[in-house]
Amino acid sequence: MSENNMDSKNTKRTILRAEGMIKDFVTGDIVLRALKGVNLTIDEGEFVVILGPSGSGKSTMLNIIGGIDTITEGKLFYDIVPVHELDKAGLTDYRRKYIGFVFQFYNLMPNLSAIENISLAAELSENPLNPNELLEAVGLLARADYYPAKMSGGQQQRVAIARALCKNPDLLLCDEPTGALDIKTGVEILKLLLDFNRRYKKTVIIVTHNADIALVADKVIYFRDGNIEKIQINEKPMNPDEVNW
Amino acid sequence: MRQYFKNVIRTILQNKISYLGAVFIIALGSLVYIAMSDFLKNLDREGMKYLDDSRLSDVMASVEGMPSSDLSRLESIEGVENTFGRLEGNIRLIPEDSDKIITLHVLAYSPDDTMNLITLEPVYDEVNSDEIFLGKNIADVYGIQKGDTVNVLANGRNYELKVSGIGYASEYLNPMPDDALYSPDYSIYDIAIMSREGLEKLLNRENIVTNIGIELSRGYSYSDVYYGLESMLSQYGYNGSTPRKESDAYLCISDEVEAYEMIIAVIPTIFMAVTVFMLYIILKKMVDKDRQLIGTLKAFGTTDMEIMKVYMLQGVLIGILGAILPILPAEYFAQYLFLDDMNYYNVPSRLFTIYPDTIFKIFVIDILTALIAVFLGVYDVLKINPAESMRSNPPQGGNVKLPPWLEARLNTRQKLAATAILRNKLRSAVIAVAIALPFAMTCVLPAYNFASKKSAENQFGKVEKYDYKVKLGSNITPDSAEQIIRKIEGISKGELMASYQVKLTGTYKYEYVSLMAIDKESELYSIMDHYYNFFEPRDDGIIISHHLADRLHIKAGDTVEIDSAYLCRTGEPVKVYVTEVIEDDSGMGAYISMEGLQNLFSVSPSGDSLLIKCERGMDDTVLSEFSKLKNISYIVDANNALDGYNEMMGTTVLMLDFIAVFSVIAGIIMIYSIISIGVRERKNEFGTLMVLGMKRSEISEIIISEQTVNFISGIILGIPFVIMLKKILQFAVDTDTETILIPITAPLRIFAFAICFGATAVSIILILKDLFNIELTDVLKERE
Repeated sequence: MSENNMDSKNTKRTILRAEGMIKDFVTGDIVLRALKGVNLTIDEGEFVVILGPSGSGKSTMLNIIGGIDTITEGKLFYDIVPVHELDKAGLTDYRRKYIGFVFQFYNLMPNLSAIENISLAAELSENPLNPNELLEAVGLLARADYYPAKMSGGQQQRVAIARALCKNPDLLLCDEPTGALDIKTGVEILKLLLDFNRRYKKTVIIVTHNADIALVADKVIYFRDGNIEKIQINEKPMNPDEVNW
Repeated sequence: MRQYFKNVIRTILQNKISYLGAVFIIALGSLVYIAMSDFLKNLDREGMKYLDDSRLSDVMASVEGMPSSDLSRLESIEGVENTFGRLEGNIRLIPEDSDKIITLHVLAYSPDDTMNLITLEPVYDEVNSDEIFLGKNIADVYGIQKGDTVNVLANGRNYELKVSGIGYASEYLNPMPDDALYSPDYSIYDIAIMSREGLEKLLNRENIVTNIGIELSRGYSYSDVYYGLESMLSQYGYNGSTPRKESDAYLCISDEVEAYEMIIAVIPTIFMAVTVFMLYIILKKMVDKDRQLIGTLKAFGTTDMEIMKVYMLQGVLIGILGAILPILPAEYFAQYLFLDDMNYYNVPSRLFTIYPDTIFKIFVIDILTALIAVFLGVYDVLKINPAESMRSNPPQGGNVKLPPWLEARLNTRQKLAATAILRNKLRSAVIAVAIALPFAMTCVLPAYNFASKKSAENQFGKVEKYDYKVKLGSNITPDSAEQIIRKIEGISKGELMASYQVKLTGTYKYEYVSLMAIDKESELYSIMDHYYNFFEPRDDGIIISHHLADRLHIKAGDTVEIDSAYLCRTGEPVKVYVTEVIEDDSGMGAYISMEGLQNLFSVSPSGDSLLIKCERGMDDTVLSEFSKLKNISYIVDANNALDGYNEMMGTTVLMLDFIAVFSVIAGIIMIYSIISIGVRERKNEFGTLMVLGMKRSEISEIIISEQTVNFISGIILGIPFVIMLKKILQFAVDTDTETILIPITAPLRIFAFAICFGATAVSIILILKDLFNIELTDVLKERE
């Protein structure tokens, strides 16, 4: 489905453009088409939520955008970078320069403390943000030397967000960032992501099956059965505190 | 638990290289055990059966000559039940187109023999006086076959004899001249069989016996008859006697069995220990990985035993596979070793048997080994608390800070590697041990072979430095020796030496040994210990080997009694000082100077052997001249002696080479398995780093930095392992008559280092290749 609901008044620069993206998963003789010709554009500085039921292809979409998976057919451009043409080394470079990731299960380095996890990302970036400031921003400066195993899920996720932000990425991708958290912690996490989006004018894409999160987004992309069902623009996105979770 | 079992099977498949490695190593230990056990059981059974079947006498005595009619007089000695006498003597075989001096030690055969029976192939009842049966090996060396005719020289006369087949004698499983080198040289010496009448005619000694077999009465031992025999046989030129269990025939079998028994215990134990270590690590990591899953199962109400049972089944399976896989190759190898030995020892029987109890034992050992390893590995299952297991394992090591000087010198990747090592000391230690063990095994196991070969090379290069040892028919004086040497063209150096069969009595015990009299300034024979110290023969006492000193319970400075028909002219033993006890490799040597003979025994210097060093290219001329002399028994070629030694050591060398090769393979498998387990358990960690944009080269740098530190730690840890393993092996191969020091030489260390380095490097390359092929999307689906 094309992006026919896009706001015509939007004059922002397009940062991401997908054209006829197809992704097949092949297991023996069985071919499962996860993405069925997706067309999509995302602008710089947008807060985007991709919403859909399990198996709709939203996480696959996110993985491809993030350069940790490749497409079978079609095109994907990040700014002027043809992501679909990149080899493994090119994808690594792409992830390193432009992408920040937040995972559902945090994926922190178990042997590094909170501050070390964040600093690790800083060392991968040419223009990193200050790890201590970020740790303070996520409210965990007091736990800088804690290891992931010693922290709650919410705290781990906040470290994971700080780690992702520390790279100062142009595009922050979040896969079910609140999926493993309680409501209150989830709201705090959303606030952090929004704050990053607003303060640094960076693009954030969140994949979730939680429809309430869509209320805080600039743009909501509904996924169903491997394709975009509809795209909705929120003229006035809500503040997370205003949402009735 | 079927589903959980399925999960475990899938985990095994993910770790298949490690599991196959564990099976392979346990199978190697089993292979050595089965092969060596069945080889030794067959050797012992068939060897001893041959000695029993041929009625090897309880005591064997040797005299210069005794009328056969006097033999029955020995039965008056209390404890002597029956006696048997045989004429034996040396004749010279004259080969066609060769000047070589070949000695046949001929035994007289009679169908009426009652002890020390001779086996003839084909079987003959009556042997004609012009027939001869040759030892199998000399017949093989010269291509002599049944029906051929051979020329022999006996008592200065030539005879033509018809070769009627092959002869075996149980007393001569390992036929060597009295003071020959360490192994038979069938190109110069072997046994032969003739009819009694035929040999009496050749030696011109009718109704004379030289070798006596004695059957003891029930309840009597050799010590009961020893003095009686000595006193009664002294008038016939008594050369000494030996009980059956100390005879060359018996010892060559029993010594070999004894020498390998410890190896059977030690080598498989090393392999089993490695298996336990590997399985322990694999299972421990598997349980760590499945911690949450096990916690969940426990939360559902599964018992510890139900969970552990699934893992223990793996142990049983590994044990069974480890025992089954090597059976066929091990039995084949055992049979090969057995036949080779039977051939070498001239035992006519060649029946190889597979021992079911060996196979049963290895099944029990392997299954128990694997079960112990698995139990140790999965013991942590018992400690898993369902609630706690839902959280990640807290990292070990606490808050580790790198020293500032180090931190300043390391880049990000190296710091990551350093902190990973410091915070996971156990993981690093396990990898270090995985490198240390193969390093020690690769250093030490091939070392015994090198040491054994080196010992032989030293014997023929540093101790016995002559080209030829000419054994004379009778003693000659130094002046006569000098005349002979001067007369023969092509000799660059010649020396006279003597050896006397003497009875050496220490504090409690006695031994019959060869006392060697050497010129003090000898250039062709040196007394050397295994630390390369050289000793000059003494005028005031004797130098003896530590093997002999141990047997006699004596030390340097003690006095021993020497008794010898030739040396003790008064008939009384002579007391002499032991001036030094030397730590030599093998044998039971005793040494004295030529002058010492005169000082201590009042015997004029004389010798029975000429040591000859030839001028370059003059060997044939010298040998040809010697072959013309009448007073020559045989000539030992030192070059052939080394070959003979190597042939004698063939079985041992083959077996140890085989063990050394497999220990290297086991080491490589272990290094790969343990390193790959260490990296695989951090797949998510490295996957996340890749997702964050870390390049392959940077991931490689982390892993290589970590493994370099682990490798260096492993090699350092390997040094005490080498010392420990060396001591164990040294203890295992030390026998009453042989002590081979196992020096871990620099080339061996370099070899072991190279093997471990290569294995580590290849392992890292394979692991990185595997790591870079992971699907990042799959990694991110897994929870840490």
